[in-house]
Amino acid sequence: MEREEILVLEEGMDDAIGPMALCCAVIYGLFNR
Amino acid sequence: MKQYPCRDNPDRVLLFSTRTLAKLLVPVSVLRAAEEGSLTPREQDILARNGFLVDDPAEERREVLRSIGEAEKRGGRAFLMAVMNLDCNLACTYCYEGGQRGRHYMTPETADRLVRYAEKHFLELGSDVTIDFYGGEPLLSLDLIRDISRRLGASAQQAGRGYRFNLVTNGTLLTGAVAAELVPLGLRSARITIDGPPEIHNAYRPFVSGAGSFETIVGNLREVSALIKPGIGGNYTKDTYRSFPRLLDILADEGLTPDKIAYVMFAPVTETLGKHLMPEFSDGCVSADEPWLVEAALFLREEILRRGYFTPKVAPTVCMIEYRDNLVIHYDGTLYKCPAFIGSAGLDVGDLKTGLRDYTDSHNLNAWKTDECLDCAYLPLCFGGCRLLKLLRDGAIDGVECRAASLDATLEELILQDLRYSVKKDKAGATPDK
Repeated sequence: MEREEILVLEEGMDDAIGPMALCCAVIYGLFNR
Repeated sequence: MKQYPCRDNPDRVLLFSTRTLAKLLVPVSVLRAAEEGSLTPREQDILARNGFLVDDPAEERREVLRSIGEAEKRGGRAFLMAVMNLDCNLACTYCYEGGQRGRHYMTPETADRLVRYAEKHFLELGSDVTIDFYGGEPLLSLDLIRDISRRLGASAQQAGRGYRFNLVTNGTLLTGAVAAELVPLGLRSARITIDGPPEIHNAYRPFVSGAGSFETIVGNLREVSALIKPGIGGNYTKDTYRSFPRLLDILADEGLTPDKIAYVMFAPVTETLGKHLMPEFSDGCVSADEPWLVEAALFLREEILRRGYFTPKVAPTVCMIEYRDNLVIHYDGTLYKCPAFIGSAGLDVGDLKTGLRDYTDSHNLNAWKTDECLDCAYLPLCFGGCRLLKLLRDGAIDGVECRAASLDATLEELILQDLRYSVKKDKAGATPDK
């Protein structure tokens, strides 16, 4: 019996890291002036 | 790779690649086949293409070690944060400048050095330049922002490169007229801080006079949003975060609907290095895994997405210390690798006159290049975490700020939120602005 298919919800990327820091200062609000 | 149960279907699992960010729903029978080595070519192709099947784990490790440098090379852009002053027209209860705050302004001489530094080290070497003007309140230094931007715009054009800038501002001085003047000079976006609905925002972020600043900021946002798409930031505490969704409703009622706002990102008020924090303020957090923070972060993200505003998806968070061409330039010309380090002795990395010095050891650049981290599935999302939090917690940047506990508590729900709302947006035909 054939198996159920894999469902791709979102394709992967080879370049998931951006060229700029998405750093904790962004996430922890130190950029919020 | 992380694996989570599928809530609607026990015969499938959700696979998430922390390296490629792929999300797959995989039948349990396929997982079993992978273990037994009996995958079909098609299954093999999908799993390999998305980073779940790896021929050579040692090569995958090397890829992760190279990934930040390669991302920077691909981007071809230097990111500078220029701290234009440490002055402000607001009197926030938790002011991040704390004891450093005062009438300290970048001088025209330092601005001139900044321009020449950016020309010599970036534009002339083939990189584009982006500056985030920061403070204090950067728009108190509007003349210098104009001057720096005119000069760098011209130099970039001459070098065949690009120059643009962003503002990290409290929003009180960014009127439509100011934005209209700055857009031709390279203004692309502005991050404006609102700490919740009016009564809360005005208590935390009043003008120096004591008057509330909410109405001024929202009025400016309405004008500015006709020219650029501003981003909204906001700082919450344990006591205020539940009121923040009401802010989103007020913004929408004011015409600041999701199509006019680039993103919304709320963040907890964070402790800064001890001497900076306002002495009377003690609600800041020093850890990413305090239980209330986990609840607050997930709750607010859901409320933002539910209303159709954009907020970044789960993605690698890389400290700017790791990027060679990310630099903070203090108002006096001192160079740092993180905006939270400004003014801290021993954490400077040079100055505009003498240039950058080696900070590999002082900033412990290799902290995450250990077997323990390289074996951790979360590494591509954290790359050693936040150096500031590490410093606050342990008094030194002598290791990583491990994110495992925080990601254990939040990652599954964050991924599910991304899936829920990207599906909805796709169905509505609207793509989130990135």
